[in-house]
Formats: sequence, C-alpha cells, structure tokens
Amino acid sequence: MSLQVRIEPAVAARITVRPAGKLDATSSQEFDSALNLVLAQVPHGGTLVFDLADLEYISSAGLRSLFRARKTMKANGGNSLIMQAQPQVRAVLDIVKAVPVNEVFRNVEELDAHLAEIQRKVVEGDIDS
Amino acid sequence: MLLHRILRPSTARRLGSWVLLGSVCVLAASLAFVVFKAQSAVKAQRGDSLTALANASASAVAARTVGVEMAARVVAAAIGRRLDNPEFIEDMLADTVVMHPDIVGVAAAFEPDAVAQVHSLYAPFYTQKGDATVRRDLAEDSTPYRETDWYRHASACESGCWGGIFHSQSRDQVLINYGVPIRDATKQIVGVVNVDVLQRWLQSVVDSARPSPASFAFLLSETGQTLADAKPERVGTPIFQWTGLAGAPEVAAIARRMMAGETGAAEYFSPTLGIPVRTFFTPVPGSRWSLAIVVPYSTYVRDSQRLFFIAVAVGSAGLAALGLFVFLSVRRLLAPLAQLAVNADHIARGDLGFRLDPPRRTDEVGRLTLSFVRMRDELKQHIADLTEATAARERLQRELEIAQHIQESMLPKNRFIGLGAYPFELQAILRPARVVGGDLYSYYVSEGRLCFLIGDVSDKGIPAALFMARTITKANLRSAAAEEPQNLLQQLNTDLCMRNDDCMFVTLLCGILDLATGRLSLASAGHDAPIRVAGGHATEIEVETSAPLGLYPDTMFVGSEAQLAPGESVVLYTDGVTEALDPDGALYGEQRLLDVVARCDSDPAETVAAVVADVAKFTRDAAQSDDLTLLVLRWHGAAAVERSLTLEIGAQLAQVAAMLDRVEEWLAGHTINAELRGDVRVALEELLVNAVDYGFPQGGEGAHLQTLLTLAAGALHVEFTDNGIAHDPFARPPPDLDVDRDDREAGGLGVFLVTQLASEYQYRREGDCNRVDLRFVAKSVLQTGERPHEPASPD
Repeated sequence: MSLQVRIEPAVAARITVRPAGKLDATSSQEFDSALNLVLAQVPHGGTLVFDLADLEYISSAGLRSLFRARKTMKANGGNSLIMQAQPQVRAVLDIVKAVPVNEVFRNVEELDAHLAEIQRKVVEGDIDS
Repeated sequence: MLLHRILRPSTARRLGSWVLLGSVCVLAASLAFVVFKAQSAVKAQRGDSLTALANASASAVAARTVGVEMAARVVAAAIGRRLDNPEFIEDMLADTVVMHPDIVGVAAAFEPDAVAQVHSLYAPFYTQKGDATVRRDLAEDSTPYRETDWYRHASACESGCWGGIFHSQSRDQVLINYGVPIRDATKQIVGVVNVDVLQRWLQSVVDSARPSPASFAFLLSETGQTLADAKPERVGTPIFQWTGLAGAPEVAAIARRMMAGETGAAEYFSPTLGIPVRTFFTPVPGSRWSLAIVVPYSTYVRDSQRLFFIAVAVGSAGLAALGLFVFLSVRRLLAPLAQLAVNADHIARGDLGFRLDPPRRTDEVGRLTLSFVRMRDELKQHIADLTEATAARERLQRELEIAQHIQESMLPKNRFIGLGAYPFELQAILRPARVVGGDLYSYYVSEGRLCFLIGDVSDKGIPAALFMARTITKANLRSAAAEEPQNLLQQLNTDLCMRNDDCMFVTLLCGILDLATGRLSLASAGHDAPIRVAGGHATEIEVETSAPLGLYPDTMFVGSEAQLAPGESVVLYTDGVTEALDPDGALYGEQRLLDVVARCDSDPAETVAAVVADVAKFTRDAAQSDDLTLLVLRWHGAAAVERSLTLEIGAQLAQVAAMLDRVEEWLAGHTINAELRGDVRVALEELLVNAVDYGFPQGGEGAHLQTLLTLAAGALHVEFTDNGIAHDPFARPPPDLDVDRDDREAGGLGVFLVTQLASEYQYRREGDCNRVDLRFVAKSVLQTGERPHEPASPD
C-alpha cells in the first residue's frame, strides 16, 4: 500500500487530512473512499485542510481527487486549503494551477494566520452591516 | 433638398442660361436698332404728313388770295385803260363787289385830276351790305385818303400788296385789304385799287388745319402780324407781342424764319400749353405770308411710341418663347447626359446592373452613351474574367498546398532527436524555394544499419516535384534491400532512366552507417560531397562521384568508405545551401558552410538551426533562389546505447505501479535526482494509465506496453510504445487553465502534465504501435539543487 491517510480530529469546524506516500492512479480510489467519509463529517461552512507534508508524489489521478473534494466543500459553503506541499507535488500543482496561490501554505502557522484573518474580516463585515 | 438640387451644377442649365443670355442680347440689340430706325421713319413720315398738311393749308389760303389778287389786278388794269370814263369805273367797282364772293368791299382812289371829267380828288368805294351795294366817296372822309396807310402802301408796291388786319368800325368787320396801283397809258401810277376781304375766310382755313384736337395753326404776314389764329384775341397782333412767350425764345426765331419765307419745323416747350410742341411752317405761295401748324410733341411721336411699346411687347413675348424653347430643347438634348452622369455614379460605386436606354440619335451624346454602355459591359466582362481568374488561381493555390502536403508526407517523419534505441541523432530540413520543390532526403534504420540519402532534382517547381516523388518512392522501395549504397544508386538509375522522355535527372548522395562500428559507406551520383565534423573541425569526405541518376542507363557507381569516431557528425546538403545568393548576387559558398558547422559542433538539431540562420543572415531579404536541404547525422558510438533500460507490461493498472517503481529505481541507480525522477514518473504514469484505460477497448488480451529509457549525451530519452488503437495524445488542445478551477473538466490534465514536464515530446504511429518520445534535457538531469520554490503569500 503506497498511501496512508491520517485524519486529524475536527477542531473548530476544521478537519485536516494528511495523506502520506504516493497519490496516483493506483491509490486515488482508496483516497477517494477515505475522503468521502471525511466530507460527510465536515460541518456546513467548515474548512478542509490537506496537509501534504508526507505526500511524496502526485499524478493527475490524485489531482482529480483533490478537485473533487474542493468542489464538494465549496458546494457545502466551505473551503479547502493545502499546506506543506513537497517539491514534486508543489510543481505538479503549479503546472495545472490546481489551487489559487493564496490557498497553498507552507506550514500550520501560515494557515492559522490566514484563517484568523478571514475570521476577522467576517466579524468586521457583520459589524459594518 | 430641392434647393440643393436646383443649385447643383448642371450643364443643361448653364448652357440654357448662356444661350438665353446671348439671344436676349442679340434680340434686344436688333430690336432696338429696328425700333430706332422705324421710329425715325415714322417720325419722318409724321413730319412729312404734317408738312404736307401745312402746305395744303397754305395752298388753300393761296387759292383764295390769288383769286382776290387777280380780280383786284384786273380791275386796276381795266380802270387804267378807261380813265376817261368815270361811269365805267363806277360800274366796274360795283360789279366786282357784287360778283366776287370773297370781296366785301372795293375802292378805287386816284391822284388829283387823274380821271377825265372829274376834278380834284376822286375815290369811289363800294361795299356789300346784305344784298345791297353801297357807294361812298372816300374823298369826302375827314382824313384825306392820299394820306392813309393803305393808299401809300398800295401805290408804293409794284403789282399789288396785301395790307394788314384792320377792324372796320363802320361795318363792324375784321378785314384784310389788298391794294394794286393803277397805271395810265404811260405806266404812271395814277391811283390804287383796294379790295377788302373778310378775315373770317382765312380763319376758316386755319381752323381746318388741325391734325388733332390739341393742335392749332396760325397765319403770319410778312411783317409778323397774326392774320389768323385759333385764339381770336391774337388776330391782328404782331407775333412778337404774343403774351406768355417769355419762356419760349424759340418762337421769335421761328417767326423770323417764317417771315423770311422758309419752310421747316422746330420744337420748343410751350409755356402756355405746358407741354413740348413741334411747329411745321411753310410760306403761302404767291404771297409773303407763312402758315404754321403747331402740334403737341406727344401727338407727333405718338405713333413711334406706340411702335416702341409694340416692339417691347413683341420682343418680351419672343424672349419668353425663346427661353421656353431653349430650356426644353437643351433639357431634351442633354437628358441622356444627365442620365450618364447618374450612371457614372453607379459605376463609381461598383454597381454595374443599372439600365441604360439606348440612344435615339447618333450625335456626340448618343455616341457617348454607346461608349458608356460598351465600357460598362466590358467592365462587367472584365470583372467576371478577373473573378474567374482569381478563382482559378485560388484553386491552383489550394492544389499546390495539397501537393506540398503530399510532398512533405513523403519525407520521413521520425526525427531521431536525442538518443533513443540507436546510438545516433539525426536532424534534417527541406525548404522548397517555391510551394513544392525537387529536393529530397530519406533515412531508414534496419538491422543495425542506418541508410540515408539526399538528392536534388534538376529544375524547380512542379516538374521537379513530380520527379522527386518518383525518386523518393523508388528509393524507399529499394533502400531496405540494398547492401551497399552504390547498389542502391545502380538500381535507382535503372529505374529512373526508364520512361524519362524529358531527360529529368537527380543528383543523389547515399550513405549506409554501421551503427555498431561507425563504418560509413558512401556513393554519389553527381552530388556534393558530405562534410565530416570532428572536434570543432569540418572537412569534406572524399567520395568518388558518377553521373546524375536518370541520364545514362550504363553509368557505373563506385562506393567510398569512411570511418566515424564516436561524437563525430556528417553533414549532407544540396546546392540550395552553398549557392544561396545575397541581394548583390554573391554566393554563400562552401567555406561559410564549413565554418558554421565547425563552430557549432553540438547536437544535429542545433547545427541545422545554425546553418539555416546563417544562410538567412547572408541572403538577408533576397528571395530564396533554390530548394534548400540539409541533413545532419551524429554518431555517438555503440557504447552510448548501453545505458538503457527496456521494460514491458500488459494492459493492467496493477502492473503500472510496478513498472514505475522499477523505472524510478533504475534512474536512482544512474544518479538522477529525486525531482527529475518524480517528473519522469508522473509523465510515464500518465501515458501508461491513458494506454491502459483507453488503448484497448476490446480487452487487454495480447497488449504490451513497452518503455525504453536511454541515458546519453547528458539527456534522458524515454520511448514509450503500445499496441493499442491509434491515438495521438498531443492532438488534443491543452486544457483551459483560466476557467474556474472547480468547474473545469478533469480530463486532459495528465497529457498536459506530460507536455509541461518533458523538454521535448513527439508522437507518431509506427506500424501497429503508438510511439511517444520524450526527452528530458541535460540541465535537469545533472542539477541536484532544489527546484526554485516561491513562498506562498498569505494574501
């Protein structure tokens, strides 16, 4: 088995998925099944974080899994973010412009800062309105 | 709009205006001349008639005065003869006054003692009083008659004189007297006879001489006394004493001319009438009187004025008629011209379909219309011809493009870029001077040998292209079986000499390279010798050459040998390279070619690009004069292909991962860094998965997917073949990455990744197989550092 998926418990409507190994044509179906379980748990408007620190390889099959997850999250009023992509994975994501630049983060601190900023904007928006 | 139309320049209106203006001038001038002449004539005629009237009136006066004068003279003569008989004198006088109708009184007065039997003074005087005759003796008057004016006046004149007007108080009549001297036998004046006539009969003559109610006549005596006048108060008055003549000095002049007995006419402004008048005067024959007729000037010129008005009216009517005629005729004549102008506008706008009435006449406008119609028709025909010619040219152009496509497809497709299964690289280019050309090249790998050839057909264009097609088809047929290049040339020559009535020929250079040993066999049919490039030096390889193919069936071809060392290149070219001309007509030449290939002794693709660029720089903007072909071959030595790996699997996804793992392992064993290993793995996975998923719709039975990896000359070459259905993965357009990420199709991403990760990629169908060649360049292979990584910005 070339892929392991670790799912960290939800913290404040945020679920982190941490695949490890190779996400390719062979492993993408398995990854999709795991994701389906996770997506069912994410609350409305929640955030799905892909922590790719341990993912050493991704191909177009893996990209399709990520796209599918993003689409589902978006339909559910939430969003999905990517952090700690490794060079090969990062290169592939860049080539196909898989995610907006501002939704890819190098580490947890950047991600937290980004989410805090969004939270702040939402609160201010409420006050303004 | 209407005003605009009216003011628009129009030849018809201008022509009409000028004709009309000219006609008006001529007509007015001639009418004025005629009127002037006619007026003069009318005036003259009027003057003549008035003069004639004056003359007639004067004659009427004269007719009566002559009668009176004659009677008086006869009486005087008779008395002169019978002075001795007083009774006779008395009877004579009495008879005269009775019998002469105009004479109202007659007297005979004598010198003293002139009459016999009568003493002293004697002057018997008879007058008519009603029907009775009254006698009186003037000698009895208080005034002695010999002292009266009339007696002295009459006795002084020769044969009789008219006296003036006088008023007889005794008879209460206005009278004029005429006196004649009485002479005796010795012609001595012994007395006078004096007759009185009524002024009234003169007045009646003058009154009847009135050509118009406003005119009048008067009679003047030689002393200027008015004898008769329309105004009774003037009668007896001298003309110079007429009242109201202070403003008309001309009257005095006229009176003097009348008193001088002249005939004439004069004009003056009459202060009494308040209008200009004209006077005609003439003397009364037989007397010294003068008669004048005065007519108002308006009456005098009335006819000529009427003539003038008639002339003006007739002239105006004539002008109006002329103007209408000119307008209508000019418009009618020039109507075709206006139509032509409108239609010329049509032509200018490119509209040739208008209708043009045929001309009714053969005048200039008619001929112009005919020419115009002919021009339109010929223009139509011309445009139709041009359209047809353009269509024909476009058709020919399309056919030529198809021919070009066909010709291109005759050339080998596989470019042998980078090292694959064979230890050589090869790059060739063919640039026809026209759409199609007569150059050719070909190569073929078989049983460890590379057979290649380059050729140049005589002539250019379509004939050369047809012969080129024939040559390359025969060459491809024969090259597989040929052991040595000279054998191939021999067979080709035999083939091409047959049915070559036009004596077309082709120069050809053929070589066979033993891929294992680098032994190069060459044979030439009149073609330029190839160039060997080794270690930055370029030299010609000596090749024995024979006559071009297609000319002589008995030509013998001799082979030559050369030995290549690993890394050496061979350059083949046609004279399109060396005989390229710059704008001044200078040749590119062999030396330049040797220099440029020596300078860039790297891979064949770069060498070809460098030569093409150098030739282009040399010729600048001059048109390419001949077909240009270049073939560069580089042999790396047999050892070059030893660093290669061949793997083969079936069409099962489970086997894909295993193959990819094996590839990655092999790459790692050849010190390829992780990053490039990842790139190669992704690219290969996409190709393998594509082939497994779509290549075998009938099932994977008998399927084999083969991967060949070659490391050579600092580059990694991946050759992937599968025996699935024909499919060019690169034919599909790249996915649109700018649409929203979440909406776009996931398909096509894999192939797009391949094109982005590999330095070069190429697909071709070989037999039953799809073949994809990928090349990962040396730079990536050797670099061990990390890929440039931009930090993600939080915003």
